[in-house]
Amino acid sequence: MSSVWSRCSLWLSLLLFLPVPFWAFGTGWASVAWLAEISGFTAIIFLVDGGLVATMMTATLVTQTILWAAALFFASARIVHYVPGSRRAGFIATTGLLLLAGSLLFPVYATSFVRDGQPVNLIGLFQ
Amino acid sequence: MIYRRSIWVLIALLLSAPPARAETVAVLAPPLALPAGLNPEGRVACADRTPLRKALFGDLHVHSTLSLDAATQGTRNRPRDAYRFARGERLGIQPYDGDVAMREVQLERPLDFAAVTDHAELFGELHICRTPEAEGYDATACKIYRRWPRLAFFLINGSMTDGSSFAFCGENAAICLKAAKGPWEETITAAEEAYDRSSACNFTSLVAYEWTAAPETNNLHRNIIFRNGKVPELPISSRDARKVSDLWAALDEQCNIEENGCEALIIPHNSNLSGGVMFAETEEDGTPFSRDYVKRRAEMEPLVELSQHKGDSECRIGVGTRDEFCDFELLPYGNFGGKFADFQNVAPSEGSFVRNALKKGLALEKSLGTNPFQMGVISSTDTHLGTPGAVREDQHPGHGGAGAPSSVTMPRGLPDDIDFNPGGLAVVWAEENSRDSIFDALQRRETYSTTGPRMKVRFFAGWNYADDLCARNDFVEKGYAGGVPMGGILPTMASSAPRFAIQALRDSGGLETPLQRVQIIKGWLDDAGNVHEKVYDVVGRAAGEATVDSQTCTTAGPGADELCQVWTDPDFRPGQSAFWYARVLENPTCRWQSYICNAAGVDCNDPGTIGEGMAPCCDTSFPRTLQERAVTSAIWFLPDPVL
Repeated sequence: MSSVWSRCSLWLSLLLFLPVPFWAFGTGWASVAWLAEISGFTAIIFLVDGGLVATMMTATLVTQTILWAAALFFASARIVHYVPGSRRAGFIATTGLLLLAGSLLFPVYATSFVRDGQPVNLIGLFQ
Repeated sequence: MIYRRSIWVLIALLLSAPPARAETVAVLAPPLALPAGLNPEGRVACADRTPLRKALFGDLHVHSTLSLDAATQGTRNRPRDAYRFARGERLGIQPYDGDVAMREVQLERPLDFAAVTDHAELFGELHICRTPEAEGYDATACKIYRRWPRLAFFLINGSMTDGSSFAFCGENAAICLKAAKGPWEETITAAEEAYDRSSACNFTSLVAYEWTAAPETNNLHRNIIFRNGKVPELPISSRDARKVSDLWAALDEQCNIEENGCEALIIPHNSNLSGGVMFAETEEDGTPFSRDYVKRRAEMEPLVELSQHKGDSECRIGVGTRDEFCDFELLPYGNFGGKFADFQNVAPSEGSFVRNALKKGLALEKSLGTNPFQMGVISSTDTHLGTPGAVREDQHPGHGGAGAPSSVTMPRGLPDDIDFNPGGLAVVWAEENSRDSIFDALQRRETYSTTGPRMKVRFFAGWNYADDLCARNDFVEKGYAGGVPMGGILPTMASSAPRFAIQALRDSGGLETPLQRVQIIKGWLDDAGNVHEKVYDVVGRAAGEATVDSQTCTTAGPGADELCQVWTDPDFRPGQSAFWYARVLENPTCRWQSYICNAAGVDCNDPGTIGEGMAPCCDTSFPRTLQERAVTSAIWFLPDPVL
């Protein structure tokens, strides 16, 4: 597996499953993919309806999404760099499966926007 | 700095509203068909009408699912459900398992009257987002509302505050305005249906709504209460009338016209969250008061809401008073912004509290000819669960609006934020339980506030009450005959000092807590134009004799079933304008969180006993006990005719 594919695969896993902290009228933990989703919806409001509030919320959410995406991309690159090429495929697959299993089996996400802020798993987060 | 300012602006916008958007039209809603044989108000006379008036207990601040903030916290109860609850029926509240409510509540004693006062500002948008066949249902804002209600709470509230409406509302927001008619008609119909027009007169429902302006997060919210079912075609929201004076003008134009039978009065609330703007000596935009402004304010706003879920607004220690009892249900923030972000908090100021306004009003009357703050008092709940009158400390179901959400899951620990409370009740002295009688009582300010218990309080002022009035059977007759009741203005001076007759009966239901004492609070304007206040203990017992154990909520010590006294103001000066109001204090009891924390076995000295959501039990900035109270409307004395 090439380092580029490895990096991208790991990055994608982290984006989808890793809980990261964020702030939007209260703190929360969610995956970057979820952050990107609500950022997208908020951005549509900003583009269609305009308004200062939509602008600010979009800026807040999109900025955090981009920063986390960049940070995870950098982290993925560093991790892949230290994994020998012969073990990359196995490492990436194992890491991805562990992240997926963890996010499905445990309520590792919590945001006031979903289920009153109760901890939820991946399915609950995206429901 | 920019970011900080932006957050400040965002919070401001979430709770304020855009400039006027479209001219409102003075078209009245069509009167509902009434059975034949009813009088013009649409009812037969009450069987138990009494000229000496009786205390009626109600709630004039109630939200249902028609309010966006309630809806985004899972409230499903509609205005009709709120009235059912007020009349004593059992009601389900969120969270829901499918269609089944996971909590149920019921009043042990029905209310006598109630008004559902939903926020008028997003009636149309909310209706569209919940109606699949409605034009605009698939708009992104509506998708957000349906999928992430809590995000919608911020985004929809906020996005409409720039002066422009959502694109899905169409040009001049015509689509949303048209859609707003549905919820408004539902509000009217629910009130009309719940009104007991039989001679039993068991329940009165008043058509009402809330005007929801909060510039720079300073709360200026007001409830608009209508005398009857003749009301404007659409409620005048803060999108239509941005300033308070615009609201009065619009109501004058559309409602308070003699020939159309429509009549409205306005009750401001949560001055404690106004950042001092509610009772400032200028209009909210800094414009100095004019003679016309103060006159209109006095006419339109005869009452103020003193206590409710979001704190008490009577007074605050250190803010114009040293009164030891001005420590009741104080919030640790001075405006809405302060709740959401510490850096937005403003220090409490004199313009935030009713007692200061009453004092300031004396000076304004001297300078402008009218006292704009000659207000009577009530309390209510501000429930966002659709549960009017659910005020018992030991059964607090939560606020259900701006607090901690429990829309889809059972509350973890306390049912809502620790800074909120179960709210209070509005009490009117009315001849009968009918709309006209209640509305008249509100207009003449013959009202008082309780923080929940149904104490009965009479308060009269005159010049020649006999010392033995309390021992006589005709206390009330003599009270009216010899003077004026709460809310009144003392007639021409007829002796050296006014005499006050006060009678308080403890609540004979609920927790049945005995009375501790009656106080009279006096405010006056001295010859130099300075205002003062003094608190007199009139009858009852001193603090400390009765106690409550906050760990068990067990009460002990003496108290009274009834307190009565005829009292003469020892400091009266004939040349000074003044007001007096009475405050009746119960013996100490537990604050709401104590019942829950105790039941959960929370021991703040043992962290292992503090379960999920129970940490606020150990927040020492909120007392575990309190003294419930009734506060009457004031009686004023005006020494000179004011030009």
